[in-house]
Amino acid sequence: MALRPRAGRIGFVPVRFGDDLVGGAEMLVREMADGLAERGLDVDVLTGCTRDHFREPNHYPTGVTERRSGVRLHRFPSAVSLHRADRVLGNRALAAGRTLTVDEQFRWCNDDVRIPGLFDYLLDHAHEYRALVFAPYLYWTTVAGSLVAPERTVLMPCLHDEPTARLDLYTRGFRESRGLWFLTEPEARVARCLHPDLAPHAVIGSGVEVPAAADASRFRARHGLTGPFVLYAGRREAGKGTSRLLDDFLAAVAHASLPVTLVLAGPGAVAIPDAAAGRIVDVGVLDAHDRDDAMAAATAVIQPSPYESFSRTMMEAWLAGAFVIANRASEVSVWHCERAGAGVTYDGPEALAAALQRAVGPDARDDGARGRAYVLREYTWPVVLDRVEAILDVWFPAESA
Amino acid sequence: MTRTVIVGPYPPTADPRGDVVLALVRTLRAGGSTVEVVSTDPSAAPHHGDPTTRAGAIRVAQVLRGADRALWFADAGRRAAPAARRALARVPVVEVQVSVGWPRGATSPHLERWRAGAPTLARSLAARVRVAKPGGL
Repeated sequence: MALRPRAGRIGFVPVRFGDDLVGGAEMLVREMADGLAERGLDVDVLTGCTRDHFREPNHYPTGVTERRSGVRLHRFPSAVSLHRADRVLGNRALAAGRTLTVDEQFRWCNDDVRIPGLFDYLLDHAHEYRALVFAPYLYWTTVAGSLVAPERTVLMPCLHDEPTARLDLYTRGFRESRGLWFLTEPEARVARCLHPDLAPHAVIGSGVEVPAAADASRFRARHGLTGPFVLYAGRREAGKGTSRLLDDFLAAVAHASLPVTLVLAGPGAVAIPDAAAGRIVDVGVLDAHDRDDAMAAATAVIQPSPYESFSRTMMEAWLAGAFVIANRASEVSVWHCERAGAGVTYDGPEALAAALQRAVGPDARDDGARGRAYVLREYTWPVVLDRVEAILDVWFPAESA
Repeated sequence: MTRTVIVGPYPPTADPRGDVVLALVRTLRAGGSTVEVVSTDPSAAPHHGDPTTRAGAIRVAQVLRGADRALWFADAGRRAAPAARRALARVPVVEVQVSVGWPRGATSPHLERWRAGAPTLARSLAARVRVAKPGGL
């Protein structure tokens, strides 16, 4: 594609940034920033030095570097408190369904990773940017940074209906930003429900890379998999529905006497019951090639998370032509399945058993092909970046294009 | 270059005085001052410390060292601990802005009014800090 120089710098502000970071919002920001820079836009990423939220606040060195795409990466020192008492107590209260006072909410927010140097940089330089894109809504960088120049702020919240979404401390960002970019229409609906006076917004989606090639037999051979298997690829944690998936899967295969194995891939610990040995296989963290191979080899790919703002996993599965099974509790997953005319949703072991039976049936590959066509139509990076550029031109008209 | 230290609430905070301090920081920076904020609680400021506590006052005193001007957003009825008082007394120009406490049960309209008035109040405070005479606490 020919470069089309644009006037005006675009700044992306994530709480953390790195090629080695796994996470939907992190990958979204990285790929969007690189993609816009490769199209000729002037793009900065403004972030801290932390790699995760709990350890090593200054894992990466501070300073300015240039990425291969042309993105300038500015890193400022990250700060965390030593005790994190407000954070821990706040998390406990939220998990227990209790509300936090407004004071407690801000103390909870300020007891996470903070980047005061980034805030000062924005005070001095925000006017030099055509737009500042903050993502996701949850972190200190977004809450603090979006206060500096709301008229230039785009909030890309990556929102789903979770207890933190209801905290008052996020209201200003949703209401006073120049605009919001949502990944799906259900995400926008959640935001409109929580913030009736929501700022102008648009659904832009998220791009996914189309894998060049995948080798299903390589993955099967490496992990000794011979029969049909359903793949879960993602972080193994309670919020992603992993432990519930194990229970539902074991009940489903017992209910329908299905010879299907569950393969778990991704970071995080998972406790596989002794009784499930052989039916559930943990292959750990996969690199991008292995993940593509796994998707191509899978009889079906399962998305058990009830909280999704986009679900990159479903898109990657469909790109591989896999049959997708998704948790019906996620409006986003249901929305994708309806729009794609592909995939099935489940809400318990019986529905999961029925879905698995369809996955091993003769129509599963046609279903996967419909899913692949949906992703190619809606969510390749060129399609998404065209939407992003169009909305930037409307909200932040460049002085000279 | 003049170095100003502000002690008070700073974003992100529920305290609406944080908006006033932020507007003041912008005004002073635009006027060429070096401004450092010590917020009472952790915030976007590079330093934090509550001047009414012993440990916080020591932190505040460290930042105040060498300042040309200081502005303290104090809560009525809460006195600075000795270390902060001594440090403030050594700053040539000091302005203390006492509030009876921000409205913790404030409704959204209350907060909106605070925010709307923040830039005006900040300009007024900036002017007062510039002309204030040295004084004790």
